[in-house]
Amino acid sequence: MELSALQEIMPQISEAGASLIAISPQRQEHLRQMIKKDNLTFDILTDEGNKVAAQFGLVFKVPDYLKEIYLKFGIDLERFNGDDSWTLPVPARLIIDTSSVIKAADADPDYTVRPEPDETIEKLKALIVG
Amino acid sequence: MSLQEKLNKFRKDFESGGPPLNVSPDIIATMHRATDELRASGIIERILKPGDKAPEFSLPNANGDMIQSKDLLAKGNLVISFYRGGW
Repeated sequence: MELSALQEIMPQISEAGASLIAISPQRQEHLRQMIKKDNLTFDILTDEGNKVAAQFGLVFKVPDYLKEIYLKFGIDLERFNGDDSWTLPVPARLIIDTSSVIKAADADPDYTVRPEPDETIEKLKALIVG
Repeated sequence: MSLQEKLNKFRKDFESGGPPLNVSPDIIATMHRATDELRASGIIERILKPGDKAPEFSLPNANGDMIQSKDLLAKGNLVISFYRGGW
C-alpha cells in the first residue's frame, strides 16, 4: 500500500531533484513480485538479515507469540527473508541530504501508521529552498 | 483517499474479523499487545534522528545489481522507505 502510494509521487520526487529507494529484508524473488504487482519504477534493495536497518536503529525481533500468529497467516519470515532471525524493521521513511545528514525520520511501531507521501514532497521542496 | 485513510480502512476491515481472514478478537488483542510492547521497548528513541549522520550502505536491488548510497547521494537528496514485506 505504501509503496504504490510512493510510486504515485515519483514525478514530484524527481522534480525535487531527489531519488527514492525502498529497503526490505525480503529475498529478491519476493521483491520482484512486489515490483511487478505494483508496477514500481524505483529500486527495492534486499537487506539480508536487516543489517542496514539495524544501523539505522530500526530492527526488532518478532516475539514468539506474534510469530505463531504470523505463521497462522502464512507469513513465514524465514521463507520470505531467507534467514531465521525473525527480525523486522520498524516501518520508516527517511530523507537524507547530499551531505549524508538525516533531514526527516518518520517511524511508528504501529505498522498501520505511515506518513503521507505529500508530506515527504513538502519536506523535499523545503530542503531545496534551504 | 490518502495513504493513511487507506491504512485506516485496512485496519478496520482486518479487525472487524470478517472474511477473508476472519481474525479472532484474541488474535487482534495479541497483535495490539505486540505493538504496545514494541513501543514500550524504547525503540523509537534508538532510531536515528534528524541531524544524525546516515550510515553509508551498499545493497543489491531485485536484479542483483549493487546499489550504493553514496552514488545516489551524489545525485541529490534521497528518500528511503524501510518496508517489512509485501505479505
